Amino acid sequence: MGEYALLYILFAPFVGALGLIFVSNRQPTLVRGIAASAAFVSLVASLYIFYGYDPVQGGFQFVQKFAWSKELGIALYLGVDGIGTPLVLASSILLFAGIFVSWHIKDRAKEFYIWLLILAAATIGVFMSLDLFFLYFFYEMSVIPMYLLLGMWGSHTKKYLEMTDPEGLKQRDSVGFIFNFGSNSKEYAAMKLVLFLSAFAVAALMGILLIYKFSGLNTFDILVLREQANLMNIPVLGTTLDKIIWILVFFGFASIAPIWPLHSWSPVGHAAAPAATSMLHAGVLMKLGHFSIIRVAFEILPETTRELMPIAAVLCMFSIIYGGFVAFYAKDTKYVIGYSSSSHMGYVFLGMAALNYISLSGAVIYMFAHAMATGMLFAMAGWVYDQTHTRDIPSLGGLSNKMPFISGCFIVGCMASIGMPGTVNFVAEIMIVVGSWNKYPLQVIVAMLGIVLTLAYLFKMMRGLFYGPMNQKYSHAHDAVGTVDRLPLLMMITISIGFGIFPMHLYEVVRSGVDPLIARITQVVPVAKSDEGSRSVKAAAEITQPPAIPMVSHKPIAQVSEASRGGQE
Amino acid sequence: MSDTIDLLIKLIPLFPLMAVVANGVFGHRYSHELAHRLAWGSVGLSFLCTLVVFADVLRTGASHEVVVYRWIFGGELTINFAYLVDSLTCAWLLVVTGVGFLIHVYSVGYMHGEEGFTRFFTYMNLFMVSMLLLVMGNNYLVLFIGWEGVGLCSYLLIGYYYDKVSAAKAASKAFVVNRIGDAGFLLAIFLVFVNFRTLDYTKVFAQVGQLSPEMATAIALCLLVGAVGKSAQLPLHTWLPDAMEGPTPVSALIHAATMVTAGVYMIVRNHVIFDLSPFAMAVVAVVGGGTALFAATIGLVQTDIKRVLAYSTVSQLGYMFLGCGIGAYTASVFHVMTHAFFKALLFLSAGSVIHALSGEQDIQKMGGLSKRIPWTHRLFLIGTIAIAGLPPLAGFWSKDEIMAHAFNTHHYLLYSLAAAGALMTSFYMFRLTYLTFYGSSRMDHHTEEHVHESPMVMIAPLMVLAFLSGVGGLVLGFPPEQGWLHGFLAPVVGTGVEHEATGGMTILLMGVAIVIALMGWGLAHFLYAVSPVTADGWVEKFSGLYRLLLNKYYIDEVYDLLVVEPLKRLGMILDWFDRTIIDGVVRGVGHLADWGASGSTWVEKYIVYAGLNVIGYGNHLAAREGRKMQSGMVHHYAAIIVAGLFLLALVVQLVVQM
Repeated sequence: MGEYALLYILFAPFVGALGLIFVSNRQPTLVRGIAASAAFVSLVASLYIFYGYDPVQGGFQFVQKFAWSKELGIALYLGVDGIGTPLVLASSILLFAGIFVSWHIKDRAKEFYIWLLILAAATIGVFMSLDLFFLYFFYEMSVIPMYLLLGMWGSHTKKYLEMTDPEGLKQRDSVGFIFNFGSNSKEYAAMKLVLFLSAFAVAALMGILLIYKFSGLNTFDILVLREQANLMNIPVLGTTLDKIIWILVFFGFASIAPIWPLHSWSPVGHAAAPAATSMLHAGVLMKLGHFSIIRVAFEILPETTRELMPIAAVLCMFSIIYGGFVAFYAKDTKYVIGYSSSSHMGYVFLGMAALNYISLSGAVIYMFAHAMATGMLFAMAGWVYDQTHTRDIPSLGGLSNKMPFISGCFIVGCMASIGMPGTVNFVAEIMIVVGSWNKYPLQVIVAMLGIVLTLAYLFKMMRGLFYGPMNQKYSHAHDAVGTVDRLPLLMMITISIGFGIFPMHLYEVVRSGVDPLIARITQVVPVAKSDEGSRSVKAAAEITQPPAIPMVSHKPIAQVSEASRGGQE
Repeated sequence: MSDTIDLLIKLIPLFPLMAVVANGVFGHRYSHELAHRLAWGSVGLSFLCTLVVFADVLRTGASHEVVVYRWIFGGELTINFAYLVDSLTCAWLLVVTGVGFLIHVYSVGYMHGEEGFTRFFTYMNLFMVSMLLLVMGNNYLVLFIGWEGVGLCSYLLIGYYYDKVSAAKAASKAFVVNRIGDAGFLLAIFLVFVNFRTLDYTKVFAQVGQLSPEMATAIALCLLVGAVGKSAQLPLHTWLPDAMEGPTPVSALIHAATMVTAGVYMIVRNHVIFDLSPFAMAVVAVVGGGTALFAATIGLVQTDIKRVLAYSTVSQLGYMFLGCGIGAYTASVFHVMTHAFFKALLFLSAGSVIHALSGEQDIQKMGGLSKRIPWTHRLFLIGTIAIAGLPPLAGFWSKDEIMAHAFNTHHYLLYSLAAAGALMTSFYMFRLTYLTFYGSSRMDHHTEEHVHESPMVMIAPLMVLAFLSGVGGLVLGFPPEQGWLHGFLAPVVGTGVEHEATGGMTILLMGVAIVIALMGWGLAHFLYAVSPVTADGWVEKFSGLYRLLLNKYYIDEVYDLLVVEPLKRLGMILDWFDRTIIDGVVRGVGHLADWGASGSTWVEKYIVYAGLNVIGYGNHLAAREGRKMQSGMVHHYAAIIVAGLFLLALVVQLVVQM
């Protein structure tokens, strides 16, 4: 069974979606049952690969290859490394949680679950594709369900609702209405999201096709391309071609990440989406961007990455601060979480930009950590919306009284989001900032101010929702009491705190993926993983020769920065 | 033996943690009785373990390093979850578990019948766990875990009455202000890591000689920022008075005895780094001395019993910082311990007063309580005398030691700040006592009817604290500069800065301190017992100054104006920017596409379609003519068929010939 694990993870949701087609909406239990079991299979298999992945051996494991078009060099080539594994796990956790979060959905539940499963499966597909063609295929495939999920099951913003109530309809002809009406509806959000992402995906596709064309290897196989493609030596365009390709790939994929200023689709999209979709969307869909950049740009164009990654270092500052401030101002729960997500993705870019072992590992762990934290927050924002039918923070308040469980979890969610020690976010955050400090001290300081900012807006929202006197309008609101409602939250909290306290396995898995990659990019060999034995030897050396403590592991970092500085010149 | 001690060390934070899990997960299933027994019982067990560990450290003088498990381990980043218990840690452990235990017991009575009783004790125990991690951690990261944990618990407990808007605001404010400090602390941690490639205390302190003076200053100042946030020093002090919105035991435990002293702990723990930077030390001393006086001035005029105590705490923490800044680490730790005793005593007695008055906190509506609640009155008075600095009670010895050290090391300005602060401290504490317990009653009728002495479960812990406030100073720190605590802490903090103090000078400074304290008392007695009219007259006369102090120098308002509002504005501007510019660009691209679409529609309509239409029209014409062929008459068809066949034959003939 083991070697087919990836196929189970990838195809279980597809099979589930297929099965759902033959079930009627009049059997809601069966519909949910099928969806939940498909997600469950995926989850179990993901846990299997996560704990079965051998970090000592490293590289791509659980590899499956099915040739598709020999002429074009396309194959369904699946495999995970230390970077893909935690993201696959995060996706299937969020899919499983998302199905329970949307358990009470009444309107066309079957269709909803079909699209949700396809969305998750496509996302998982990207994380395990070792073939550029299929990577792009799954990437595009993940965008399409978003359109339907937003457009059909989404919700309008408060402004829209105000405009469509009888009072608002009177002003229908006003200029403001005409300008704002569209931009506040869920249909607009769906349209914007899909068009925006597809447009940038085309840029990425061009980059991929240029790699395919100019490598001359007639293959989309990432492993072959990364070993043999030498795009810098192409006579026609010289060294600029690889830069063009890199830019296309980077910005093409970064739009979904979303890097500033390409983020404008994201808060609208988050706000309009139903809870489970927001969870998957912010939790893992956004990470497709970072992951694809790592998989395509970092793997195939390591030298160009070294040269051009400072772009990301500059933009990530804007992401962090800008997103934070707008979130501080926003009054819609989902806007706050949405902008906070785009702000937090700046940290991932920072970790990626610094290009060393610690910071990139931190970035990957951060993706995993953020998936859990933001998943929780969106799930709970969804719960509050379901109970009160509003996302407007000023009109809410005092819900702690009605929903003690949710408010308790909300605190945990906020804590995870701000990187409270004890959650996995803290581990990730500290690795990113520690790793980036030597190269980008300014960004690190900005990042730390960003943490304060995050805290300010999340606590403001928390206070707005749960503290203070209760609005009697919402006295009918009730807490999450049943297992079905509590399970997804408890699951994400457990994982977030569990990996926060025991991050060792996660860290080892991630390092096994990051180490060879960074070694290729910076051409610096990582410090040999010290085990107990060598450590005690080191310790002994320190004791015997106190003045000559040579800062044993200082060297590689210095070399990294030197190497990359050399690259920049 | 050592293994047993290691095990006990691991158990110290584990007991409260188990209580947290039990009460947090199953608390709603069982009675309040069991919940509170678990809560204080677990802290009591931790206290017993602490005593054993303390006895061992005292006997052997050794420090224990215990690795619980590997936290992050691999490559250049190695961090263990590990404890370090040396004499400094022991000092804090005794205060945290000992005073913590007493406050837990007191809370059983104080919180009786409150909604969320179990929740309260869960948070309190979680606080104990975090505080223990903070003082027991063997590296900066474990310290930071505890550091953030206590901040979180402080947040949760300040906001305990969540339906009160002011409580919710105070809770958020406390956490956010603390986080500003924490950003500095985190920065310090990175600087330590990039310089030493490790975060373990022992390794860092062993290599500290390699630091350049500038780097040492940078690290020390960043650490100071963290300490200032946590210990509510200038300019980040604003959260502590607001934090009084929480239940009184919380104020006693977190905002007086333990959490707020974490900043002092951190500085003393890192004193090796501070010692390298005279500049940073000077900053610490000035921040401490400034805060000591500044907060005392505000305390002079406040009318909320808990707020007076809160400003007093800020002021006393200033003395501890001042002690650190002039190198009198032992004296600072000494003051932390005595302050924990008498400030916990004062807060809990104040709680007892508030309890007796059904929640009234305004001292203008009290008075004459000494006969109604005699035990609370006596205990509060002991606390007042202790903090005012009258021998032989605890506060005198520790405060005097800091002040004497400042004088003897020729920091005369700092000494005068501290002396002025001491005068005010004595004054506002006796003012508080007079207004609360003496004179005529100013209570409203309803409250007055319900005045009652607190139950034994609340009074008993107070008696223990009163005893400690009474003799703690003598036991720990007599004779000055050579007391027991000095010997005990010497392995960690050294013997401190040497100075040439003669016995005569010591006695003289003590005399001055006693006179200062008596002056404060005398003034309070005059203004609030002998001639209250004069007090009102002074308020009239110095009304500007009075309002300035009453409004706490308008610092909250200034921060709102200078920080909070601009941030909101910036958020608003960026939100506008996002909607208008960035979204505008996106929409613009959309419009471009739209124009493109309309352009291509035009092309489609007038060129492509037109072309097609021409073809179509031709077709149409051809069809119109061709239609005529379909006349329905058989002979026409026959003629056409024959003609067609003829043509076909002709074509075939031609093809074959070619």
